[in-house]
Amino acid sequence: MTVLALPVASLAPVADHTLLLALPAFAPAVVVVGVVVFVAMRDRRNGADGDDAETSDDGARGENSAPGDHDGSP
Amino acid sequence: MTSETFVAAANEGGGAALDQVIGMSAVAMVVSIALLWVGYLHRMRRITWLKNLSERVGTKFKRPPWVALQVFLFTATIIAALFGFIWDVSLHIGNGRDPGPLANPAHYFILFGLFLLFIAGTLAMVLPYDKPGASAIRITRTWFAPVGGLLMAMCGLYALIGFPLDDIWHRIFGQDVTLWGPTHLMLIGGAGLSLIAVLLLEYEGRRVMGPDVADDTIILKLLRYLSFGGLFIGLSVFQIEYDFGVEQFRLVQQPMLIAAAAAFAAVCARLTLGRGAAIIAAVLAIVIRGAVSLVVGPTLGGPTSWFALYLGPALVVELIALTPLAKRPMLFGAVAGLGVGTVGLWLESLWIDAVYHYPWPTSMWPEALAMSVPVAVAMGVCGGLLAMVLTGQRLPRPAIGITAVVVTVLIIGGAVANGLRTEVPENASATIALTDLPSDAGQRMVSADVRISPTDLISDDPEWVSILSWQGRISNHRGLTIDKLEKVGPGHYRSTQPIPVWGSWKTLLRVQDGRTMAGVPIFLPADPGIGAEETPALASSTRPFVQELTILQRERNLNHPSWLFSVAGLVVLFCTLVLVAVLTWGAGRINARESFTDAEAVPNPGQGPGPQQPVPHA
Repeated sequence: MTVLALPVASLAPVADHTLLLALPAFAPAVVVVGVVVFVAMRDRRNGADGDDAETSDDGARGENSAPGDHDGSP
Repeated sequence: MTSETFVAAANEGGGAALDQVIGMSAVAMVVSIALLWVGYLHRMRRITWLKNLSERVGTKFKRPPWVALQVFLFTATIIAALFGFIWDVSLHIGNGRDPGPLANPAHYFILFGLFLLFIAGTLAMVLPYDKPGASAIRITRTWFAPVGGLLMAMCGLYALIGFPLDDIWHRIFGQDVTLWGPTHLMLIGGAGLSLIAVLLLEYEGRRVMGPDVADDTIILKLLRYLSFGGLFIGLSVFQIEYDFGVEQFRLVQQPMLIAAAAAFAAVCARLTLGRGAAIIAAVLAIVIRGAVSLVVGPTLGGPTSWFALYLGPALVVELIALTPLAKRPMLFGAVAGLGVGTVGLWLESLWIDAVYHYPWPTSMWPEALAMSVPVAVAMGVCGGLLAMVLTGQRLPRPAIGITAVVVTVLIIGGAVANGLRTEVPENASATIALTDLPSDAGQRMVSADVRISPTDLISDDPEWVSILSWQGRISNHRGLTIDKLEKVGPGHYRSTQPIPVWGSWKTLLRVQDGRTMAGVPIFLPADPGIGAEETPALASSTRPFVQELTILQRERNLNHPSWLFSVAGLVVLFCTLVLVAVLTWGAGRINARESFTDAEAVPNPGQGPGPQQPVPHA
């Protein structure tokens, strides 16, 4: 039985579009993971310069936040 | 937000592919931006509604905000995915493959469910401002995420990666019309294993709440039992082909799959929640899985599916837990696994024999036990280890826990590999005589007389000799008929019900007897989409036995180098092993950050007179 088989490569009308259709299904997840990993990496890189260097990263997805925006939690 | 857009897109179902691409891409973009934006605003403390909402739910359910909201999201998401999954399977059995990716409404539930699973995990990571418990993972200096949230997101991601991989798979190998395609296993396995993640997240939250929180209200207790009921269901997703009676693999896999799920879930439930928990969880699983079957079958008109009850295995686990063994989780897991793999399976077989299309024949038991017992013992040990984490007991040295998981993976791999071994008899054929029966206009129903050559090809106690007709459209007899043939003489069988050989029905003779597994086509319609010609239903025909896969999975493209298939399989296997490793690591990390001072002073929760709270940790 075909299960969860979203795209059907064997059918001519959709054959050229199947990959395009599958990508949106997980692209947002990959984007989110990418941003979180980026933020974590940047924080560790900055951490090497000392703790006061730049602490804007509790803003998870943000950069260049004003100091007042911080969580404040160490 | 996602649901609305998905539903909006659903109206175009079956439309031009380009519309679907644009729609899906737009949805993807909106979802990505919305997720990042909300996450950003929340972490920057520029919005309060998310914090307020989660805190309100948290207060009501006596859990930290980053647990309570997730558990609700998770429950909704997993039930949506389960329903979509079972419905999808039933539609494919009844209708065959889809004309287009969005043509099948069940896909929306699966997509929505899996995506929300990822969102639930991510939300658990984003929500807490303060460090969420001792085992939290540092993302930045001021942002810590609970382990369970990370694991949940990983399960969701693993399942979602299955979508594009599935597509690439179909492009290279053609559509594998079975549940057990490697990429299909990713899609359902990610959702199934996420139950472990939610149990861990819930435990982290409970530990943060401290020992004094009064959380033994009926609702909260029910939710905890429910999560173990979910564990039963989550580990059962690999059995669905068997549940519909259209398994394309040897029957001997079924008891092994049931034993694996039962041993892990029942042992873990019993040791975590105390006396009666294994049975209560099994009953709740029956209620949920039964409700989904009722909606998909009688209500929506799809083929009927059954499900393993797990009551027998749960009873065995409960009885063994009455002995002092329950104080030693790993040993208890092993012994209870042994019980599940033997007596438990026998009890389960009573139910299987009563309602399933293919009862377990006596001749199958030796091999079934040889596969099931090691798997059940290993899974029981793993269930015991998880229960130790969930009750705050000190795990043995990491090497022991890791070894247990690795050995379990190897044992399951070995058992499945053995189950996949099949032989197609050479120089064997079936002479099939069809007699037309009175049929409605435009239809053709027949009875079949089957003579197999050589006559001693099939033993007296085969797994099955049957005629399967499927993909005849849901509107015709739910698109599925399974007829176990009546034996009238040596190698001579007769059908017992009208067999459809018209329209889009695909009808074949199926034989499984020990390692022998083969089929003979009776009627296959022409399929221009895959360049297949009709196999006509002749009044009398003699056709050789062939590998069933070539009939059941006509869509499969076998013109590819064999190494490519191996590599593709290895990629999927790698992703799966990573997920298992991450879950193991997460459970170990939670346990390693435990302070065991009070935990060791309190008797094993499994020994209490009733369900007790696991040892909390301040």
